[in-house]
Amino acid sequence: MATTREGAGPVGAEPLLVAEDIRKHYDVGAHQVLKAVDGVSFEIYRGESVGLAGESGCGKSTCARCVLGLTQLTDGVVRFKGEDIAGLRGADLMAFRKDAQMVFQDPYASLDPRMTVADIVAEGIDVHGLAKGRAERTELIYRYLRMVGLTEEQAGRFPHEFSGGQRQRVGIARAMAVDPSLLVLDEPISALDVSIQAQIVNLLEDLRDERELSMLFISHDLSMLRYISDRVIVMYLGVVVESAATEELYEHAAHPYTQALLASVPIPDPAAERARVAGGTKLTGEVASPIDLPRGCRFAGRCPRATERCRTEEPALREIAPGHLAACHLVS
Amino acid sequence: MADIANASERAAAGHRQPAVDATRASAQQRWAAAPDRASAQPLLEVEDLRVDFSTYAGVVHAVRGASFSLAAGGSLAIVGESGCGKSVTAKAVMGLVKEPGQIEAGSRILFDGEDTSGFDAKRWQRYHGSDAAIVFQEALSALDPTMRVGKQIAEPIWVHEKVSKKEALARAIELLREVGIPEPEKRARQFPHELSGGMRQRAMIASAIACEPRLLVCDEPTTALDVSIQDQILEMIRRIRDERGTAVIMITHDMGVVADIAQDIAVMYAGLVVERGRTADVFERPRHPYTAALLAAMPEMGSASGGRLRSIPGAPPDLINPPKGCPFAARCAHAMPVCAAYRPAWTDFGDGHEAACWLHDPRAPQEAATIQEGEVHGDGDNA
Repeated sequence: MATTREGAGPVGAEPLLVAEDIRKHYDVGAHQVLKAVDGVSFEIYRGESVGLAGESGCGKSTCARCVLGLTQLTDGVVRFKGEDIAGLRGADLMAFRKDAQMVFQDPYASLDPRMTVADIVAEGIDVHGLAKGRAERTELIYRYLRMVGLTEEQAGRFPHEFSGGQRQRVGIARAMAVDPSLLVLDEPISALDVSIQAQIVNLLEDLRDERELSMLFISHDLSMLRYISDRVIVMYLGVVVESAATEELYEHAAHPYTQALLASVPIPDPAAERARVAGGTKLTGEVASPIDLPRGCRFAGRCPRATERCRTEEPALREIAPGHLAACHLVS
Repeated sequence: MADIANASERAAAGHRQPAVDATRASAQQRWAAAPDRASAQPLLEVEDLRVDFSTYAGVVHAVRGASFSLAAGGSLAIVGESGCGKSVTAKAVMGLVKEPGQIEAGSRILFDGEDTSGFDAKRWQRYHGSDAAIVFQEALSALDPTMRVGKQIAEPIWVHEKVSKKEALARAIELLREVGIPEPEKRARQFPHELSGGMRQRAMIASAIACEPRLLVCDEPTTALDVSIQDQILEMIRRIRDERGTAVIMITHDMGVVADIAQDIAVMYAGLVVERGRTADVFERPRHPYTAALLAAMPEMGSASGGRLRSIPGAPPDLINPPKGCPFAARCAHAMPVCAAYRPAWTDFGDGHEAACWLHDPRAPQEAATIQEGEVHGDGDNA
């Protein structure tokens, strides 16, 4: 595993990707606005893997689409290698598209059923002209298939001939084939079985260590994020509520939402699970609508410790320990 | 509808007392007598269940021999990966295996001592709802999108019990309240699409327990939900089990969910039950290498990051041509020549803990010692 970074990355190093106060609002008619992402800032350094956690509808997938330039921002800036991606045109845009790749959640829906695995993997190689001649193209296809644990014989097959785990390997090979420096993975393992999940997570760890790959790993599975991430960002209703180095976050979660989220995961041990059920803070109720956002803290409605101040004044994200950010009035 | 209701009511004569506020009382009355019955025979007994599906590609042997039993008021988790046959087993228990699926001859499913293969349409109707009910993973596709939520829950009540629609609706609202839906009167008038995922799942559970079934089958009811909502749903199912005395079968792939809800566990692999016993025993000392590997593959919340996850190399076998011997042999780190050739017999470890694995055969070589210590784990690397 790569060196775990305390807080916001190595001193003096330039982050690979910076998201500055990004917002993505959707007009949902009747003068209503859905604020999917509402002022999120973070950065990803080279070779760093950042986990993005939160419940469905918290805006984590929209964040992923924003940093890849797949959707136009309502406000804010995403900088990749120092350049605002909204201003990229022509060859610069192509270079960015090659450099920032995505792996999708559903390996059944994200691969074209009419293309062979070889053609799927080669698509990026062809578009970006990375191979000189057929022999090199084939060599590259085989190299990336082997990298993800598939064989050369499987290159001519179609997606339906593969299991879910194998398909996700194809999706990773497709993304890796253009030699990106950033991989954005949107719930890459949630559709897979436990034993297969472990295979994919181990593969991703190897890739990161071998190639100094940066990763934005989106997942609702907190136990899996702990394995893969150097740093974890927790989102709630479009904003970041807490962010810290992985061990710091899991051991010293400060925000009541993070604490409750961690306490909600069932433990695969009957005695420990009984203890978890008996004690701990539980999350009651459900996520509020991102259309009618409450005035104060967005979590106040479900927070067991909410005060009058929480209901009227939105807490700012501030540093509570070196590299550990939390947005909560109750944290000193 | 009224005729059917009357018919099934006559058939179920003497079984229940239809009254709104008698719900809880009648349940308790009924369950006060449960232990005697439980000691006599289990509520559900499944013996050598085999289910085949005829497909274009060939016959898929989805379940190839599943045996387990469940006491009244007990809870059993059926665990395994996709395609292991756990959901088909649940459907078979509910009598919901439809063409091209077929329960093979020799399979026995006994509910309260009664063989379900002898059920006629009328008996099945009484079975669904008042004997056993199922909760599916996809609440949105399991609920009728054109019917108001309250009516969907009330319908089985007025079909199975001779009460007026008005009274059934009042009970439906009471059930919605019981499963933790705020403003149940308002929600009852809404359609499924107007409810959130967690609330739809609650509504489906309300509809499943409407006629106080003695068995509630839950087929991955929380897989599509967020952890916080999963936690709430699991708590509700535990409450239904403990307060109403309803026996629960939980189909899941999540060992955390198993630890949460089930007293007993049956681990399935490639259509076969490979290990069964009390959950605490099986978790503490897994006796089948597959169970051990599955437990080891779970990331542990309490442990520090940095280690590698123990994955199981390879993938489950094809069930059109299932392997002759132990189905796990091809992925097992401890496989012996005999494993691929012959199916292992059950070894009893006491207190109902059994595993079907050749390593426990007295003739197995020294390696058996490791699994007998319950220390066998999966391979630590990629396939």
